[in-house]
Amino acid sequence: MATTLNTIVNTSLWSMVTIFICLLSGPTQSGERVPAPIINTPTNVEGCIRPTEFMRRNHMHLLTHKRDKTLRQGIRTKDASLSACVDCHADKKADGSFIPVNAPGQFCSVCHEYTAVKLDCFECHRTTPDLDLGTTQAVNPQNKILVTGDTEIHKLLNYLNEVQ
Amino acid sequence: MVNHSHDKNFIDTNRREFLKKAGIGVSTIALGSGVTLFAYPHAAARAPNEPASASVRWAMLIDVNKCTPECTACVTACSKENGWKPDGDPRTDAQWIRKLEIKQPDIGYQASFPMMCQHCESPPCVDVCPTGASFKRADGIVLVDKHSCIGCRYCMVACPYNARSFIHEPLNDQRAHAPRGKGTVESCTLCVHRVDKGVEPACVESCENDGKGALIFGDLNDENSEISIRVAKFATRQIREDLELNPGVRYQNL
Amino acid sequence: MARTNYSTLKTVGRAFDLSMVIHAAVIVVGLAAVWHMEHYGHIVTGMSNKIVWGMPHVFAIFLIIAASGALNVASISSVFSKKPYKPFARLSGLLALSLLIGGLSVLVLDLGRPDRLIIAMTTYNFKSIFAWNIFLYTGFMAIVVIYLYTMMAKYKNRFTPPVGFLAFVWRLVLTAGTGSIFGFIVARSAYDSALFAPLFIASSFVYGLAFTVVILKIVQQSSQSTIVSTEMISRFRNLLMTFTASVLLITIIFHLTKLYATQYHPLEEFLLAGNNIYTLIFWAGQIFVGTITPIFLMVIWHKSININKLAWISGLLLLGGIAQIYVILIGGQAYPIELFPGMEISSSFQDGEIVSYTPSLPEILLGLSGISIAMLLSGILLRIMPFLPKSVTA
Repeated sequence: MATTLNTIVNTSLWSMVTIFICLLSGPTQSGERVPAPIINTPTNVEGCIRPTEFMRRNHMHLLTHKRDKTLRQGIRTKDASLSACVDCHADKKADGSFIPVNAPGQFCSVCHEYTAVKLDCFECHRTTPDLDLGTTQAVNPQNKILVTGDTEIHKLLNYLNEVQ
Repeated sequence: MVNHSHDKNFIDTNRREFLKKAGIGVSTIALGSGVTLFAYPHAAARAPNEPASASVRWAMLIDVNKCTPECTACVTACSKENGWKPDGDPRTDAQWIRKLEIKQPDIGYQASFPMMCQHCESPPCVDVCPTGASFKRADGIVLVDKHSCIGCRYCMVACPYNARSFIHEPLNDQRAHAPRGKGTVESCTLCVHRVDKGVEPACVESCENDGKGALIFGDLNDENSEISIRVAKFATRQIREDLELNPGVRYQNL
Repeated sequence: MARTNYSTLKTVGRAFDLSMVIHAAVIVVGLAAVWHMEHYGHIVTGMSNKIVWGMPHVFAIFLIIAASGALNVASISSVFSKKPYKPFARLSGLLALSLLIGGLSVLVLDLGRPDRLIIAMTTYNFKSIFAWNIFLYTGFMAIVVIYLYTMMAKYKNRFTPPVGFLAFVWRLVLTAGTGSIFGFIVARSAYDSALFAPLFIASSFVYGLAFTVVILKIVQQSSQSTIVSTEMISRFRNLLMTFTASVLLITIIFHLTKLYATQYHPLEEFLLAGNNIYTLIFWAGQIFVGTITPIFLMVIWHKSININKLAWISGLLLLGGIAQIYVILIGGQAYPIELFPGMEISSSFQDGEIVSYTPSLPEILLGLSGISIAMLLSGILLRIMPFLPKSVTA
C-alpha cells in the first residue's frame, strides 16, 4: 500500500513538473511574443534632461537619487523634478485635456506594463501637468494631441501627429 | 553604478532659470506689501540647486488678537494651494491647518486662531518615526518623506498638537507641488515648495490679502526680519512650551 | 528521575483537525479583509485621524506581549534551572514563536503601506522605540528558533542555558520596548509614564502562561492523554496568582500616581469614572473578569485545582488582557490632547472632544486572524515535530 501511494505521488509530481516546463517554453516554441512597446515621445522641445538611451536604462536611478535631493535638501531644479517629466510627457486628448501619464497606453505605462514593473510614483504624484501653477511651472506647449479611437481616420490622424 | 555626469547633450538651463526668476520677481512685487517684508536678499536668494541650510530658521508668528472666529482665509488658501479638501467627515478628512476656538470656562475669555504643524526644533514625530520618514529639514521645516512612510501612524500618536492626518482614501487630483497619497501621513509643510522659491506660505499671503493680517512668516536667524524684531519686542509664546520642543510657530496675545 | 521523551501531537478524533480548518478559514477571511482595507484605504475601517490605532493593534499588541511571556516556562527551566518545568520548555518556545508571528502579521497588515515592509525592515531611525522593536521582534524570532534547536537537536543541549539566558534578557528588553511605545509619548496624558515598561512585562507573564495552560488543556483533550501532572498544575496556578497580583499592583500604582496630580484628574475621571465604554471595559473587563474573578477562583480552588479549572481561569485572564490593552490603546487615544490645560477647546478636527471609536468588521476579522495564525502554526508544528513531553515524573 505504501509503494502504491509512493507511485501515485511520484507520477503526479513528475507530470506536474513536465507540464509546467512545457507551458514555460510554449510561447517561444510557437514564436508568439508580446509586442514590443511603442512610446510616444514629445517632439519639438528642448529635449529631455538626459539622452533617451540613458533614460531607458537609468531613469529609475535618477528618480531614486533626485527625490531625496528635492525632499530633504530642497533642490528644485528641472533636473530633479518629477512634475517636470510629467509636464513634457503627458499627452492631450482631442478636447485639450491631459491624459494621466500612467494611464494604459501612455508614456509610463507602455514600458511598465511590458516589463511588469508596478509604478508606485503616482499613488502620490500628480499624473497630469498642473495648469494652476501659472508662471512658476512651464508646460510643454508641444504636448501631442492624441486621438482615441480605432477607425482608419483615427489611425491616420495619430500617424500625422507622429510625423510632425 | 550609474554615472550621472553630463555629456555633450548637456541642456542649458540657465536661460530657463533666469526667466523663472524674472517671473518670480514680477509676481513677488505684484503680490503685495506683506511679501516684501519677507523678500530680503538673504531669504529669497537661495538658488534652486542650492540645498536648504541651517543658517535659516523659518518661523511664523500669529497675532491672536487679529484673528476672528468667522475668518477662515488661511484654511481655504491652504486647502487650495495644497490640494486637500474636507469631505464632510471630520474624523477622516485631511487637516493641514484648522481654526481652534478656545474658551476659559469661568472667566469667559474666548479666542480663535489657526493651528497647524508647529515645526518644532525637537519634533516628537521625528523621534518616533521608525523609518525616518518624518524628518526635520536643515532650515527647520518638518516634513514627511512619503517615499519612506509606511503608514504606521505612530507620529500621529506622538504629535502633541494633533497636527498630522492620515490619508484614508485613494487620491488622484493632487497639486503637482504637493504629492499626497493613500496610506501615508501628511501635515502642514509650511508651503515648502513656495518657501524654496522665496514666496511666503499660502496661509500668510491669504491672511494679508483676504484675512486680518494676523500671520507673519520669516527667518528667525535673521535679526533684521520683521518676525525677529517682533518676537524680541513683544511677549510671544509657544503652545505647550512645557514640553520644550521649541516650535517655530509662535503666538502673540494668547 | 526518568528521562523525558518527546513526541509529536497524536490526536484522537476529528475535533483538532476541524479546529485547524476553522483557523485556516479565519485566516483567509482575515486576508480578504486586509485586501479590502488596503484597496479602498482605511476609510473602510473605524480608525480615524484621532483613533489611529484600533482593533487590529489591540490584538497585535496582546499577541506580542503574550508571545514574550510564553517563553517564561522555558526560561524558568533554562535560566533558573527548575527541572520540573523542563519538559514544557519546547512547547513554551513554540508558543512564543507562533504567537509573535501572529501578532506581527496583524501589525504589518494594518500598515497604510504594507507594500513598504522592506523599507521598514531595512531603514531604521534608531531614536524610535518602534524601530528598536522591529529589530527586537525579528531578533527574538531568530533567538527562539536557535533556542528550540539547542533543546531539540542531539548533543546540543549544553548550549541551552546560555541561549536561554540570552532569550530571557532579550525578552525583557523586547517587552519593555513594547511598553515604551506608549511610555515614551510625551504628547498624551494617558501615556508618558515609565511604568508602561514594567506593566507590560508583568502582563506578558500573565498572558503567556495563560495561553500555555490553555494550549496544554487543548493538547491533552485532543490526544486523550495526560502530560501535565497535578504538581505542575499547582505550580502554574501559583505562578499565575503571583503574576496577576503584580499586574494589579502596577495598575494601582499607575492610577494612584496619576490621581495624586491635580492636572491628571480629568484624565483619571475619564478612565475610571467616566460615562464611556473605557470605564466599563476597565472595571468589568480588566478588573472584574480579568483580575478579581481569577484570583478568587484560584484561592477557592487552591487545593482542588486541575487543568480544566486552570484553563477556565486562564481564559478569563486572557479576556481581561484584551480588555486591558483596549483601555490603554483606545482609551488613551480617545482622551483629547490638552493643548490649553483648563480651557475648553473645539475645532473642525475634533479638538477637545472625547472621540468615539466603533471597530469595523474588517478590523475585527484582521485581529482575530492573528490569533488563528498563531494557533494554526502551533497546531501544524505540534503535529510534525516532537514538542510535547511523553512521560513526566510526578
